[in-house]
Amino acid sequence: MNSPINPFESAVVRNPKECGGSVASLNKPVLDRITQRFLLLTAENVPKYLRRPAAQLVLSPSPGYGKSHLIGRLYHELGGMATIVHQTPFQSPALVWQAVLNHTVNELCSIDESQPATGRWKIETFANSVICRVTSEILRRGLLLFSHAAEVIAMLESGQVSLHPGTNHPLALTLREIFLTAILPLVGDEVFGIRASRTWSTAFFHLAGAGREDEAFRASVAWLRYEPFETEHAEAFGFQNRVPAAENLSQINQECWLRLLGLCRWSYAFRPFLFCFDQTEDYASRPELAMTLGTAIRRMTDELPGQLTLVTANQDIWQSRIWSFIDSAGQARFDLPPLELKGVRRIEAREFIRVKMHDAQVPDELSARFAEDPWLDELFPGNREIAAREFMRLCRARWDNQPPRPETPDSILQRHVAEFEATAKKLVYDPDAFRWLVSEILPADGTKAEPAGIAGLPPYAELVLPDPEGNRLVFAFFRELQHQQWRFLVAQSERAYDAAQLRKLVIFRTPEQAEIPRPGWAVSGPIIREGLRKHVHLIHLEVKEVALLYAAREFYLEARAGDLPHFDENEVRRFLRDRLSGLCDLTFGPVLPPRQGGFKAPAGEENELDQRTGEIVPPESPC
Amino acid sequence: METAPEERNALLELLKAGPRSRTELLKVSGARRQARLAALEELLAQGTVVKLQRRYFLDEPRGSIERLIEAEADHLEKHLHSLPELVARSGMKIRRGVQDPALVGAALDRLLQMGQVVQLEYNGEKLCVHIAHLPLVQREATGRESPGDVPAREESLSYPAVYEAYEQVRVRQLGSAVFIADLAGELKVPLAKLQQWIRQEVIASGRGSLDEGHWPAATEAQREAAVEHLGTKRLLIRF
Repeated sequence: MNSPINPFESAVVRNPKECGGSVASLNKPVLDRITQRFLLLTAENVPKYLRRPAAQLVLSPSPGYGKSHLIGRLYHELGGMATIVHQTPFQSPALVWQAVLNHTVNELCSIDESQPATGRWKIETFANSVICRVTSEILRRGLLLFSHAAEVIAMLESGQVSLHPGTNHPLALTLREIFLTAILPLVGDEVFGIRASRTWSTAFFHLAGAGREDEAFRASVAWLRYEPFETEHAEAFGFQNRVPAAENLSQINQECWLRLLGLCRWSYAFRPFLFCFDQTEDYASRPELAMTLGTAIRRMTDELPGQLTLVTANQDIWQSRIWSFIDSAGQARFDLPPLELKGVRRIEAREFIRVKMHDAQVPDELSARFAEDPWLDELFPGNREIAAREFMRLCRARWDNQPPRPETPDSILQRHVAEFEATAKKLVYDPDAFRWLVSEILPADGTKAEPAGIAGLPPYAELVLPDPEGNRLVFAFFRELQHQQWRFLVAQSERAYDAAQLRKLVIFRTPEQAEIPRPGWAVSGPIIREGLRKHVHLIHLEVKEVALLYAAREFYLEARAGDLPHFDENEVRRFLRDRLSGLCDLTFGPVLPPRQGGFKAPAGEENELDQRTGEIVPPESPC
Repeated sequence: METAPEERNALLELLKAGPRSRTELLKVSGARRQARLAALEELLAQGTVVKLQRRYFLDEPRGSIERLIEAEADHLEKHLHSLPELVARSGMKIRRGVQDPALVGAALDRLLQMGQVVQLEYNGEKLCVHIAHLPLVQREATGRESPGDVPAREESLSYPAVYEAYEQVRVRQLGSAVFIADLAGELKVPLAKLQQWIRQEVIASGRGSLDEGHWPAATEAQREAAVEHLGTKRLLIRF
């Protein structure tokens, strides 16, 4: 059946939202159980303990049984009833809540699949719902006198009032006009039992009504992420500007936890969260990651309302390298026995083929001819099950009439690069990708990145790695800082350098991040600029370089998860080190001052990085 | 004998809607009854129609009944595994383990044939039990005397013995896939012997499934016990 399009080509689910069709009966009990448990979160007359459900563990006997596909099916199944947050592995135990929060905000800042026509982000609908609920509560308490209050409350709670720019509902217009001045002061510090309700309401008001291009909207998203933003914006948009000059990681982690807790508490006005921890094999790389995962699951289960946590894992690696590092209290927070994914059986094989061919728009009669009984009988004697991915591989070979040729490392990397480059939104700053670079790629043989637990290092210092001369490189990972914080950072870096505590502080920047120092920092700007010439090295990556780095990490995670059986993870690491050697050289090289318009490496180093990037990414055509 | 095509077609139409009893199929006027019966017998002889427990099934596409029985056997196996007791073959309890009660006999025969269920007779009544609930019978079958030091077995492996060992390993872990190395250790048999049994009973006969597992994380002993199947080495086994 030679054809240019093989319907069985794509055997690894990379983005659960794009998982394609499914065989309805395959793993249906697993899907049903998770759905049922999730729906209890919003069911009325359910005991309170059922609204803080134990985490759901789903085990796969081996890679390729459809863990990520299951999450994709949950997107389809729960659709507009859930906010499903796909949690890729966190890299920093000290900032686990920052990672979970960032994934959550990223998901909220994506198109609401249940209303694709409106193009709205989930956070806009979520925020709108909160503002309507808060207002109706104020009216219900009689704190604000409104004519026809009962009708107004009913309207607000019906979900028909939208504050989105461009809507002309009379009530929405009134709300937009009076919310900050007349309603917000009445909110108080606590409404519906949620702390700091007034600040939350301020953020939600901007998110509901300002529009995504508005600075108030952006500031509110930054506030949700617990990221600093400009002082003048904070004041103008009604936020209290309490971010200290410097914080340690545990403070940041705790503040991120409080944001996450707040989002879960407010979620009653929108949809409960389904947090899905996937690619968990990566937590097996370091015991502290596995332990942190256990602690995080315990805290989420105990303290976060309005959510169900789902953990998917490959059975043998979970059992031997993760489960045993989770303490008994953490283990007790899982609903046991775990659910288990099943493989394709004889009775599902034909349907499986039909679904894949249907996705590839192959005519039904061809699919019937392809799925011949003698071939299926031979593959499935007795009760045999075959992992979905393996069955895909066998179908692929049958379609091509030859055994499948394994992909080369270059082609895998190139495919990932293309996927990242096609979605600009995926190229925003991801601290975990840079932590991965520092922990897994930069260390030469015999060296290791360690947590920055030494006194006297600059704020936000997170990892320390010796350079080839044995000098200490210190790394910090953050999206933005205020100018006071930058000043403090460069000053502390200089002190640490003078005390021989570091050679330089390295901070990676991605293209969407603002230039540092910002043009408006008249006083702090020159001081920061001077600091950035000495001991603080900002490495500005171009879009292609970010795509390469993020693609490299994705490749590595797949290898580690056992999704690429032809590659050993050490082999993959060596390959990626080679492909990222330009970036490694820049990182180990001297401090280079930032230039207007983005980072420019010296000719040799830049050429090296360009050359490396060019090996896998064709140059952009001028347009 | 040449049968009337209209009667044959009428039967096929009826059976397409689902399994039928003999009475339902032969419910025609006296004159046509003989022709209908002849058509039914011909369909049975051709294998287009299959009779199971007094009900007639259409086996189109060919093999669909076989697959239906396999699926029902799977349901029944799980049902019986959940019942630590003797269950009457003709009782209602066993029927709850299948979706179509007409297939209970065929599904049960499949499980008996595979050794996953055993059947006993008491006072003329046939009683069934899943082998997971029969430790004494398993011990007798496998020749094990005590859980202490037992020399490597010389006799051939049996499905009940392997299944018992598999269950012993499985209950000590999360999930159903067991390392072949652990299974060999539990059985206390030479690795080659278990691997040979797996090739014969699992790969050729499909009495279980083999999984690749996570090769990079496997120990040397686990890798050594792997069995090759469909072009890759498998570390894990499931029943």
